[in-house]
Amino acid sequence: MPNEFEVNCAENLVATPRPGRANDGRHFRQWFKPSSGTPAQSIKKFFDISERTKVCFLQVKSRENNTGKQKLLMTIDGTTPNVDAPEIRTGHELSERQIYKFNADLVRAARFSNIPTDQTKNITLVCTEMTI
Amino acid sequence: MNTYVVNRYNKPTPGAVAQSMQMTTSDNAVKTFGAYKENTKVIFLTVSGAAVGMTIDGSSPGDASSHRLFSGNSYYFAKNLMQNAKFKRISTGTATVNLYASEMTN
Repeated sequence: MPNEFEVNCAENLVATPRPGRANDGRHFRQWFKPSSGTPAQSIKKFFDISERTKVCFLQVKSRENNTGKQKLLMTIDGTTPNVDAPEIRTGHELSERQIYKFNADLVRAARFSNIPTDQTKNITLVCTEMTI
Repeated sequence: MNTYVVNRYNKPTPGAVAQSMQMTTSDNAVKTFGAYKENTKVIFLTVSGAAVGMTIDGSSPGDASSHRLFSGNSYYFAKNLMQNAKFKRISTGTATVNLYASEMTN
């Protein structure tokens, strides 16, 4: 009898758009706009993610021509991102050049903040609802 | 048949507080994170400021003998791996290294 050893690595690699308003899934947007001079800290959450949504794609966008200079901070433990000096800064840094894929429950709990000392452009955070 | 299932979309571990680690230009100490919650499966780690070296075999991270984690990237690691992980600043730049780790579960 052959000695069989099989590993089945089951990943759901392809999340599909959740049927919704738009062809490519429902979008939510949050804006972080610098006022004149130094922008203030702005903390945002996504409140209206559907219960049917399993996965969210997050993307940070600005008119920086995708250089990756504009960033946001994200916390998922209920705390507020600290945007002070790097020595005491807290939060996961999200930059322009990547698409982040997160569990929808994580995004529901997440808090997003701009980094006023670094922000030079208006930043848009786009959340696309997906299902698997 | 053995089945190895990878959940790529984990949730925040209830009650867990994220941990952060900073290394200034003069800070060349080897550092580790503290304990994690029992039900945590995965650590979501982001690196900002500058690159950092990481080892998971108990050795001290060095320029040529460590995994280099680059600023601007995010990583998912198993909790067991992170419990053995050692970090050390290897960048010669002027920016402060900031590691931020959140706990996740299935």
